[in-house]
Amino acid sequence: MTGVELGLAALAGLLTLIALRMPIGPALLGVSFVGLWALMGWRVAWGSLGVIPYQFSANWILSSVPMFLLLGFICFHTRLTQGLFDAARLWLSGLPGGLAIAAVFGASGFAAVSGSSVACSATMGRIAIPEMLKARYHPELATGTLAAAGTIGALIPPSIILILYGIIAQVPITDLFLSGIAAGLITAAGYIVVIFIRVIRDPSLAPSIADKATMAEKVAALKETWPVILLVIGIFGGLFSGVFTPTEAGAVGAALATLIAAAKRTLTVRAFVDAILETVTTTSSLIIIGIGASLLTRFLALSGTGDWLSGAVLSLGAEPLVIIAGIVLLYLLLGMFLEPIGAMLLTLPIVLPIIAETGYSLVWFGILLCKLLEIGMITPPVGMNVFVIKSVVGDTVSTSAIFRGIVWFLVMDLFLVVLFVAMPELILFLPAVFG
Amino acid sequence: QARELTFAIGHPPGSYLIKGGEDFAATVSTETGGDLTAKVFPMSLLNMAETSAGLREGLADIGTVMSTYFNAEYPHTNLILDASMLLNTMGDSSRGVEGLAYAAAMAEFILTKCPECNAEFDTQNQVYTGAAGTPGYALNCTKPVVTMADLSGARLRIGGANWARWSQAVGATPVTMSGNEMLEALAQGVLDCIILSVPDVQNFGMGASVKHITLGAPGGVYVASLTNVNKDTWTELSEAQRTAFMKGVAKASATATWAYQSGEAEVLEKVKASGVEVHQADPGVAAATASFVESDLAGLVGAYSEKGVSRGAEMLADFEGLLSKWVGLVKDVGSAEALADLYWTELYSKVDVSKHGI
Amino acid sequence: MHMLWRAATGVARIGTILGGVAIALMMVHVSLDVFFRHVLNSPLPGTLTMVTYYYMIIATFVPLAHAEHKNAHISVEVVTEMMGARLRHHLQGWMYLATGAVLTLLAWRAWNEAVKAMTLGASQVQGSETIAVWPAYFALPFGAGLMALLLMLRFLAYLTGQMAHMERAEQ
Ligand code: NA
Ligand code: NA
Repeated sequence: MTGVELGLAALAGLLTLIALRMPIGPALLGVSFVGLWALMGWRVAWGSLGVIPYQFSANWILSSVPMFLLLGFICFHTRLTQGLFDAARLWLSGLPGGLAIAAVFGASGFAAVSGSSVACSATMGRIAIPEMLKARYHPELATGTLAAAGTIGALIPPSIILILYGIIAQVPITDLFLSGIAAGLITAAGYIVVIFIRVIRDPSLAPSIADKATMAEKVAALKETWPVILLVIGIFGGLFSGVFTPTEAGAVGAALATLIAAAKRTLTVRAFVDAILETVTTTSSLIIIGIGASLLTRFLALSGTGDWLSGAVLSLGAEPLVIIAGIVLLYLLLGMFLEPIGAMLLTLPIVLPIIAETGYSLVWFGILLCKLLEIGMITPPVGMNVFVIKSVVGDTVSTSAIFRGIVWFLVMDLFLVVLFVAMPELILFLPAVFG
Repeated sequence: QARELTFAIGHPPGSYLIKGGEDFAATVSTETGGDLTAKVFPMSLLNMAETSAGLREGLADIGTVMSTYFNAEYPHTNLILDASMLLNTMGDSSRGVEGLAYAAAMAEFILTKCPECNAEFDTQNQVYTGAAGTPGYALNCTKPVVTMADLSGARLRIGGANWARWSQAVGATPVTMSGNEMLEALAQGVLDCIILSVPDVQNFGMGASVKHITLGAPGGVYVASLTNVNKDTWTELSEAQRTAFMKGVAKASATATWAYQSGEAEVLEKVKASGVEVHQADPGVAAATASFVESDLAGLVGAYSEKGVSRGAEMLADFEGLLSKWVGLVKDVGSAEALADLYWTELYSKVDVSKHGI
Repeated sequence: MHMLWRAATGVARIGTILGGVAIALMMVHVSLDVFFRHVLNSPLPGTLTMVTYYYMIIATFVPLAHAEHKNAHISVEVVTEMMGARLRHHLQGWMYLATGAVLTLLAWRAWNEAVKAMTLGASQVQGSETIAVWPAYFALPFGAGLMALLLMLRFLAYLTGQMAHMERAEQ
């Protein structure tokens, strides 16, 4: 067997194991190990199993994931965010799918403090999904909305993917960030449209809240939103005035939430311990998947499968538009399995020179790439955002139900990709104005 | 049967080290008539933190090891790196050739005068073959930091122990921070300066926030073990292949180091045009730095003896001789090709491939 | 077997407490570092090293077994949902074995690596200080090994038809 055949066989084996309900992390680890053994021999397989798990987890930037998860869990268990959603419920109850729309707004706001979509899904999911389920929203709509909305976290700066892309492609990170804002907001608008259409077609997905509140009640509800507003001011203020970095923001935010909850007298030992324990379990079950995906990336690199896939897709034609279509296809394929940063590192050396030849802007391509990689976060079988939401809802909603809830948002995402390709100026106008 | 070696470099595609790696691959392939080739993996196979253990376990055949990441593994090699501010004591003769000289002196020292260094690579199942270096480290700041008063209390991101000690000696606040986070930290004002070579700051995307660059302080360079080889791989190569390998090392080392050094001048021109002010550290800072280097070298020997380096003073004395020799040799080199020739004839061709690392 | 299960899940719970302490310390240590750096212009020594090489490693690996106990590891039910209950039951039983094999391999390998790190005395330099990091390496074999043990016990319970009984006994 050639390396590429081995790589494709391994991907097929991986799909089978996942379909038979092996946990994703161990499935990725096992398949990559066997693949490396067959390809490079025992020494390399054994060696990588020793090196990668430790090195993947011993990562300062990754520490923002548990810290932002903790922030979300503390908010939830001490009911800091209750007020915000009460207010949103009262104010948006007239709209079809009001709570889901509020959740998209919330995710867009949180995206401005969080560098990764996983943290964004985790936090907003923890806050919004229980409220939506309580309001008898359909679980597929509730979970699908939050898994998709989380992807806005990587588009709106700060964004770990855009920073890395900027470094590799040698384009100004400020331009990427400005374009990312436009792409993130367009994505948010697109998701809101999806929610509208779905709920108007089938109102039972999101029953409108019956109790009609008076204006006085609505205004009173606003007063209860202060904890979240204080938290957001604390995080944004600290970030923009140079007190702490985005990675540190998670830890500082969690500490701030604890202090606010203490001041509000909703902080109990029980609530704090519950928040910590949920953070621990979620962190562990997420990072083991990251480790598996990281190992698979090395296997695909060494076996030449990454190169082969890229080459196959790029050989489709020479027309710039055909090339772009091929690249979109490539990343949709890779995004099914790989974690986004691994997929990016694996392919950019081949893809970047080709983009440069087509004459498309590299800033524009960075945003398109980020969008495509984020779509990979919500596509089966390996969709990190979906898994994050799954870990938030526990046994109440199945993983496949969440994937079903994603479908409509995926359709919108594909439409947005076409839109970004057809009208690059949509995402490039901000750097053009400010750059 | 042709053999392809995997070469892992933890820097992004297009960077100077990657250019060196690609020249290594081309040279080895030419020298062996395609019998031995190499494929460079920029960041995608092993990152900087993974490269040492990855090489040990055979995940890659060749790798660029940043030895200071591994304090316990490479004390002898790190002593020489930790002493890189020695360059400050060589006066004007080393200016503009810091990396060219230090990389070669360090490689010659390890290859010919430091059995302990080779033993520590051997313990990690690696064979040391050569080095590449950066230009002198500078202050890359958001505000002017030129005098001792400017330095007082300034928050400086440091990447190595010697710069941390220097920062404390001049009254600044050393801040340790992940390399991936320097950009935001500088943009938001968490940091005042990054201590790093000028081209690395600009090429790794941090240029937008740097408004003032101060040259001449703190100085010192970083030298990577550019082409460490997995020991089993090295043993399996024929002597002819190892000779081709060393030719590749000479070429890669010259390409990367020259690109760094000439990159500094290019980058400085470019940033000046975009309004960045370039300063020279004032005499007060230079004097404080000089006296720091003197006392620090004495302290280093003691500090490293605790890490198991028993003949530190002797090693530093040997190394200093080599460094001044190399400063003289590279002073008038005018191109990457000439540098590759010099490295080959004066250094890498002299390695006995029938014995080294076997 | 029931006693072993109870002992293993008990140890897993203790491991979770250790993970929780790591998470709490991460929050406190980073926040204090920010405070000291910004207000007093003197960062806490060792924050980056402690977060990266202790808290992250412990929080990731030590709670692996507890996550298995609580069925919190993430899997996809798309296909198995469509199967009959009997087939699903048998498949589940054998998946415990397969997953357990992967975790055993990981634990064994990680133990090797931890011993290697201890012998070497693996450490990190932060600023002008050196901090030993080898002890945290043992979090990997501990967490992965305990998870492997739970999986193997679940597999045995499946083989002997006591799966339902064992899970019920602990409530
Ligand atoms: Na963001
Ligand atoms: Na996916």
